Amino acid sequence: MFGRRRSSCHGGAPATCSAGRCRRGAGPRWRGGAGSGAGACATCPLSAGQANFTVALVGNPNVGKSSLYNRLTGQQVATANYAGKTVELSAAQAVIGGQLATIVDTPGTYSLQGFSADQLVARRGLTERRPDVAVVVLDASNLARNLQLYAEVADLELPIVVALNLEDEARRLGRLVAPAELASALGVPVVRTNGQTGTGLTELGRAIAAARTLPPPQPLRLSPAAEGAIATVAHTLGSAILSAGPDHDHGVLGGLSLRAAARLLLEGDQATWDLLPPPATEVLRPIVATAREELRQAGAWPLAAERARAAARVAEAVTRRGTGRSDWLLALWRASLDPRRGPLILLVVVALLGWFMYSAGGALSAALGGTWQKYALPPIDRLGRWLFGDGAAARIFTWTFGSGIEAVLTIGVPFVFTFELVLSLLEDSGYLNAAAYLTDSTMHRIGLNGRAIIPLIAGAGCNVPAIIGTRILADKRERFIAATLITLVPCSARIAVILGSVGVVAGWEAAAGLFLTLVLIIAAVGWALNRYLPGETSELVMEMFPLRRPLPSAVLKRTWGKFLDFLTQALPLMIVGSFIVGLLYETGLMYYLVKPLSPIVSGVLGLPAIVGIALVFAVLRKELALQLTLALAAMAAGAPTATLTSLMNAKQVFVFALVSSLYIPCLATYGILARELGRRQAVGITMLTLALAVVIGFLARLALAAIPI
Amino acid sequence: MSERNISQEEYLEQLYRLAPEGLVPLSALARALAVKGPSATEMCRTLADKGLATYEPRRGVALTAAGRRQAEQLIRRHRLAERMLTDLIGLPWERAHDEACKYEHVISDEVERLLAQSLPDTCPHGNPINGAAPAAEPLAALPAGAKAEVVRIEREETAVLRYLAQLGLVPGARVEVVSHAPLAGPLLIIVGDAHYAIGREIAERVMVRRDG
Repeated sequence: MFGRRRSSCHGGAPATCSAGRCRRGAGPRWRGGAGSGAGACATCPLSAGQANFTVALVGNPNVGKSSLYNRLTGQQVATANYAGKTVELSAAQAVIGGQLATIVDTPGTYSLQGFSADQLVARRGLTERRPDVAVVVLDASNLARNLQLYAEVADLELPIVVALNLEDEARRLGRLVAPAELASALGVPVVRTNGQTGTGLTELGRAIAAARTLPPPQPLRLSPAAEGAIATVAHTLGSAILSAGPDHDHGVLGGLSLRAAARLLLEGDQATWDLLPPPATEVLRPIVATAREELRQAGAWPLAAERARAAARVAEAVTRRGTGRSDWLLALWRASLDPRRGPLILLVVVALLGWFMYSAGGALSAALGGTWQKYALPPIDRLGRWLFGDGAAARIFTWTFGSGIEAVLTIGVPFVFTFELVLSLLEDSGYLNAAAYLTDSTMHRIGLNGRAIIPLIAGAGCNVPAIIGTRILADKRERFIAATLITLVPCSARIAVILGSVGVVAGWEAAAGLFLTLVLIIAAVGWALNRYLPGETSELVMEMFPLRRPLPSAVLKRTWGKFLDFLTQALPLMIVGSFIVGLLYETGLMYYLVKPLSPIVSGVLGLPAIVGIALVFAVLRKELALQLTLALAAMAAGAPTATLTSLMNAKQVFVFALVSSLYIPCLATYGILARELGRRQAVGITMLTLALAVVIGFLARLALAAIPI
Repeated sequence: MSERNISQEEYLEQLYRLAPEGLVPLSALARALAVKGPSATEMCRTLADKGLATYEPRRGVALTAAGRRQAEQLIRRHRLAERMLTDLIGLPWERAHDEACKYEHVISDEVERLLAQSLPDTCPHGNPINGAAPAAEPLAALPAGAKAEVVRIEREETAVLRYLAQLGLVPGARVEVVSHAPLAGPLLIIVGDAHYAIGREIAERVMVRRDG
């Protein structure tokens, strides 16, 4: 069921290969890794020979690779102002220099000897299928560190084009990079680009097309001692793998050049050692050990420090430093990281977010609902009667197109739209970084570190991309904890259900109380998982980026895209769902479904048994829980304008919203859990949420019964 | 949940790492070893009985000269074991630490002497095997605004060590502390042109020499 459209909530995904698995269809690994031939994955532009050449974009996290990629290919890969937004390889085609090229976007990485899942993905983008041109995207405001990655890419001996990006950011911080000097220092073409405005894209395309025929650039030279050690190991490696047989011809090991392989072996990169045939391992061990020792004696160890020095030398030579502008955004950034003012700002941001969602979403909901009821509902009703005469068929028609669409307009549209807007603003400005820094020590108590706050908050938009985003976490234990907690985070659909039910019936205080309850449940589950799962939490190490002004056009474009995506999927489902419910109701079949569920729905949770139907259908999409319940309420009252209160009292509405938030992740979320963590863990998480929903729902019912209102 | 069985030797080593000379609060020791308070109390009593440490309830525990000698010997053997593993059998150096934890307890005096003769005098991570470490303090101890130079990385774990190196946090790098997050949270530091948030436990292991 996830064959074509794997993620129901997030972006119109391009042909995206994720960690070696092709998104489209249950096809083989994209580079013909494990299964059958690569050509079998016909829809994936990475596999077949449709394009004339391949270009890979590579760079540090948050240097604007995805923006450039989107500009080059016209795709919409999600971008944000923090590290780790892109966690899979994306590929799309573009015409470059008059020829069709496959452009591959890699996750941002500091090094090609990565240890986390996303860094290994980046490395594969350059080695499993060597691109014809590597575009190294450099952040002009932090050239020295960016050039360390350049040094590693240059070692791969691929033709390189440098895209010098984020110059405006560099100017803001008082740094000016001279592109011509950088080009002559590195010996590669350097193009000034701006992914946000699209400046320099034509020049970049031209440079890429020209670079195909250029020889690979010289590597970034390290100290004589380091160069000597690399040459020694490379020499032995060359003869060792050439003598090992025809599998390792061209002196290239797993897509690495001789120099890159030698350096990685020296640095103790396990993945590279694993590539060696056993006899070569035997020969190389003593050579590498001796070479390392000589490096240490010469003070040229670790090699990462050597690279840092070489990169800093180049960066210093081509950068002019002045005084930066001290604008209010930088001042706000400093304040948001301050140990005293930071937590206050965090509270204000969270409160503003909730207030905006509640008021703007509520106003939009009322306006849309009112308009629909006034202008659209009567004609639909008349049309039904005209088509089917007075009777059950006409009523089913009205429920389907009248109440069905109204529910989407009053619940899905206003709250999903406002939330995506707010999340876009937070992501684009980079504030989520500051939130991670401030909440790190609290997150440790639930078995996560501050980095996990980013997927957790993104989970409030949609669980699906948030669960994919847990790849930025270093180990399996943390990914499991984070994924479990994300399924408990109310996504925009569930927020819509809560605001549209509890918020409307019992007021904003009750809705806030429900959100607080959910936060406490998430904290308790996190605490328990941390306590009882073996292992411990890894420490935070995260780059922090200054806040930047969100680009209104980008924010609106992304919000609109996600919103349309929601609409195209929600509307047909809702219409079909309403039709089925109307049919079941009008024919009386509904009561056969109600009965088996009623011991839990009415017995344990104290809700009208009929609500069980809405809960069953809501597994498809969570907002159906409320939309169908509204339709049911309308049927029970016999009038399309009926409200929830005709079906449930305020306390029941609270229990209902709580249960529908917690129980079983939606189908799309389940699909992504199974893909990312495996079926066993996905089933486990699903069962856990079901048990939680029933137990918490029952406790909430008891607690509310004790409160006199 | 069953608790990790922590040997007396590991307590000595950990005490030495936390404070070779001074008093260590029991809670800090228990946290560093991931054991429960009562287990730590019991072991500290045992150490005191053997004359390896002094234990004052509610104040903390401190190594005696004998305890210090034994801890230094263990650390020396640990570093020799790391050397042996990397240089003689080519184990990648970031895995050497974990492996050496097992070897350090079984090396005899004679083997130690022979190893010391045939191996260099620093561990693969730059820590001296014999003599005292150069004067340095953990990065975590620096107040906001302080600037320093990285001297070495202590007690390095595989992934973290490598990640720090990628970020440019290597011996010789210049580092500035911007602020400490509330609730004993991470530190905000500047290395080169970049800001990083790094967890307190990691900052405890980055040894630096302060300017001035």
